[in-house]
Amino acid sequence: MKLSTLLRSLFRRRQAEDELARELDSHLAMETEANLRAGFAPEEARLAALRAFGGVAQVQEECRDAWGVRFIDQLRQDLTSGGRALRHNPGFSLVVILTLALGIGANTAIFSVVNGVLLRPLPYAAPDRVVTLNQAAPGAGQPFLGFSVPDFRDFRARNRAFSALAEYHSMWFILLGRAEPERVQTGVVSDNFFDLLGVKPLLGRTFLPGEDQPGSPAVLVLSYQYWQRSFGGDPHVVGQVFQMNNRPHTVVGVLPPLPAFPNADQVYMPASACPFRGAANVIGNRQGRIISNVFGRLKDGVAPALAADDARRVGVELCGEFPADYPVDAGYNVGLQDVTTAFVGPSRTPLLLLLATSGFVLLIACANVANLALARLVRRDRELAVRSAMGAGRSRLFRQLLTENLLLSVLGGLAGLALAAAGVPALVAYAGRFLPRADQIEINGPVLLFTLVVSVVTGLVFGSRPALPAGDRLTEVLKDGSRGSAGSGHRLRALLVVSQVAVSVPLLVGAGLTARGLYQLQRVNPGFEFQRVLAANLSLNWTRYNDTAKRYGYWERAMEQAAAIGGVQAVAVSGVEPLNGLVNFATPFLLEGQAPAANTPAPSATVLVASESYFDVVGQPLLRGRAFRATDSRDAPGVAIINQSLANRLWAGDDPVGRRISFDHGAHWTTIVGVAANARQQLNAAPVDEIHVPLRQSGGLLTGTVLVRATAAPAALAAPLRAALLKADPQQPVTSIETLAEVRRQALAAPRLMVTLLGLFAFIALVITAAGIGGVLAFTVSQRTAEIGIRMALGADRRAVLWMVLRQGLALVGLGLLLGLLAAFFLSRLIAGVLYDVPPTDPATFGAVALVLLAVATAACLVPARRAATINPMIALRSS
Amino acid sequence: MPDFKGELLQGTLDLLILRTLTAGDMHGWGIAQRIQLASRDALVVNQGSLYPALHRLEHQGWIESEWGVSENNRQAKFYRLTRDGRKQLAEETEYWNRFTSAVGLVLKAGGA
Repeated sequence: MKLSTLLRSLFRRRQAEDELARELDSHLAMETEANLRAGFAPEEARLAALRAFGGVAQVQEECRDAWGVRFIDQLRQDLTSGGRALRHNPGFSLVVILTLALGIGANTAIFSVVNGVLLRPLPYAAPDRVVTLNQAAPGAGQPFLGFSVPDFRDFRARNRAFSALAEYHSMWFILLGRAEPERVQTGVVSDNFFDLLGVKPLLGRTFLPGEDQPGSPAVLVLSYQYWQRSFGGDPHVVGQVFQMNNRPHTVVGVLPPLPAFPNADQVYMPASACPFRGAANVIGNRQGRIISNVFGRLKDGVAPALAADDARRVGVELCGEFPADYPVDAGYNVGLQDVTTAFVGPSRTPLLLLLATSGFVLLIACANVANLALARLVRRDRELAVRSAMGAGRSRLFRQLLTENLLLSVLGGLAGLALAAAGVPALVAYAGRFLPRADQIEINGPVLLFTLVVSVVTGLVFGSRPALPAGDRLTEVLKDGSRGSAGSGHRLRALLVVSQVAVSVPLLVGAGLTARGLYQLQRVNPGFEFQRVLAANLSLNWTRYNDTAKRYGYWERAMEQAAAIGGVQAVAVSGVEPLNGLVNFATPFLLEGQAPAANTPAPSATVLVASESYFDVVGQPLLRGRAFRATDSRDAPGVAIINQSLANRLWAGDDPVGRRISFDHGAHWTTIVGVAANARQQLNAAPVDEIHVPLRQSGGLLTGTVLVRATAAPAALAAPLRAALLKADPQQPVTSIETLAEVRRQALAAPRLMVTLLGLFAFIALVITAAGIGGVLAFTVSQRTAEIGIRMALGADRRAVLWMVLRQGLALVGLGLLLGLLAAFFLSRLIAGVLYDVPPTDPATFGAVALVLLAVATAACLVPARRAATINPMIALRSS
Repeated sequence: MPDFKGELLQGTLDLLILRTLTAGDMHGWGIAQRIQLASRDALVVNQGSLYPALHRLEHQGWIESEWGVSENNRQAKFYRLTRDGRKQLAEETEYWNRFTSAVGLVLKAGGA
């Protein structure tokens, strides 16, 4: 096919037509002249020429066929007439486009999230071959154990399934040498980490083989984000030297943009540069599990399942060889996860739930539009019949209707795209705090393609069904000349209403259940009086506060200064900020008078550091014993306060006060002096076993939180608190200041967004369904005006008519409701994982949904029912 | 013997048009005349099918067209054979020759 002729005939259509006419004209003229020469009379000559030629129009049409534009030509015709038909009925078009815009917009927005978070491949080489290894000890209550340096060394040496293993953990260090000391999150990795991931540096290099061995000079690789934000993308950063951990660190490279996995590290250093990882007691200690993640790349041809078996085998070997380090009852085991699942896995269920929900909303919208289109089609029966009689083929008519519907759905898709484009930035801004890879969410090529496909499929779904029955009945319509009779169309409409209701119910149930879960979560008493507490988080400059005494000194000064602020009731310091959701690792300890059993893991609990007034400030009641005192200092005997949960586990029924425990295999003993009520470190997780140790007996806290109980609203104290902390040390930056109420609100942000979105979708579904029910009933009433008129003329009173219409609508709603409840009963199990403290078949929620739906549906039915009841029988009969 | 009415076999019109154009640029009417003349009036081109055929050949890129002035000073669209068209003509001629000689062989063998 010659493209130029096709294009020319497409875009220079008029000219092509002109030329064809002129060409045929000139032919006829030549033929006429020849005939004249042959002796024909003038008028005869022209006629003979025409006769010889045959039908001019027919020839023209055949020539156009040869241009290959017939299909496009007809499409244009269909579009023109479709556009005209839609303009003729602006109300219908507007309702359809808006309904579809809501459905398609919701789907586009959610898909852009799913695409960015779940579908886009991670920017590693062959990311499906990269896995993370996780060691767990469920028997010791530790689902994420990490690896010790000997563990890692042995896994590296003994595995057969991996072409490489790399270690990783993350720490905060202070980087000096810039205008101000900066606290940077630092990924500590083995030399092959970036090679394993297949990440090439943007500038300079990554780590060289051997650079993670003790004695190597310390080097740094900067993350792209940190380089951009703190160095303004300066290409001369490579080669610069900064002080960290009392050593010079040379920047050797800059990374390309990478996902914040496992953490949003700002810089990376090789294992040898980390003072903790490099310490002799860590390197040689099989229980010093400092490595939080081990990455592996599968050897070519090795299936993930095989690699998992291989890792398990090594784990079992180690357990057998070092029983003291791996007590049998702890149930040590090693698991494998592909890197994508490890990163975004937890978001998968909620996101897919949202996508499914928005899909359901679109289905409901389709049903509505199909109903509208069906009703309109009945009114257009005659138009279509006439077109058919004028020679339009059935397939041509079908195509025309389909084109109209596609036009509608594509317009709806465009409007939906606009809605999504407006909503996605807000969604990203809000969800970015708890959603991984939120920076990858955008309306891009794949999302546009998705929207296009959804729009077209939508048009086909709601468009093809109504178009079909019309064809069967065309001649019939022309013959009897009646207005379209209900017939099979009516059954179809009823079916659509039933399915709309049936689909809405699970959506409402899902929204109801998650809302109830959020309500439960909001009612959770974390065990703190968080209302009037302000928290300031700090990380002390490691180089300046390089011994315990200096650190105590800082926290003392900070508490003194803070206490001097007007409106401050009490001040405390803790190691972690309450409710911030960080997972704390459990520390094993020894019970006095109880020899460690060979196969049983030692008891363990989360160890928290607290100053004397901590329990007063956060309002966590002491149930037994005493609080910490100023006399509980470094030279005094060690003391601890445990929580109720641990007391119950270890000394059920007995008083733990006075018992002794040891964190160092019996070298030093700590006396339990009190029992505190349980408090939650995470809002949605039950309280864990906790041991509080006094600040003055801790290592002095490099990272800690100053907690202030205010006499009035705590937010007003933020600025004075910052000033007070600067007075304690003008060089020491404050990481953040927030009220505990804010911390709690942030912990609720993710479930709240989920409830908001599900609620929004359910609301849209309810409105669309109500409109659908009302619309179908109104159409039925208008079709039955004459019949109702007769009934009334024969004596049916208005109440009976009202009830008749209402009953018809509610019968459909009831059937849909029943089916929907049944579907919800089975579907709601799927979301059990995202529900907090609500059974997925919560009867109250199901009941409430049924009531709401019935109320809304009844209201929707009442409008047409009342119109039916007010029909004037005389007018109705006359008009038919 | 059935009367030969000058009707063309399916597809042969294309071949004849291409062959005729080897003599030089020509407008539609001229092509029809020329075919009739060359076949000594044995073949009459149905004028109604001539133009669709011309447009089809042009669309396929075997001929191209240009407006010009006819012998009688009349505006007319002149067709010209393209390189592709010459190749096509060679192939179709070859095919036609093989086809007719084969048919001829069969007829001879059957008749003997």
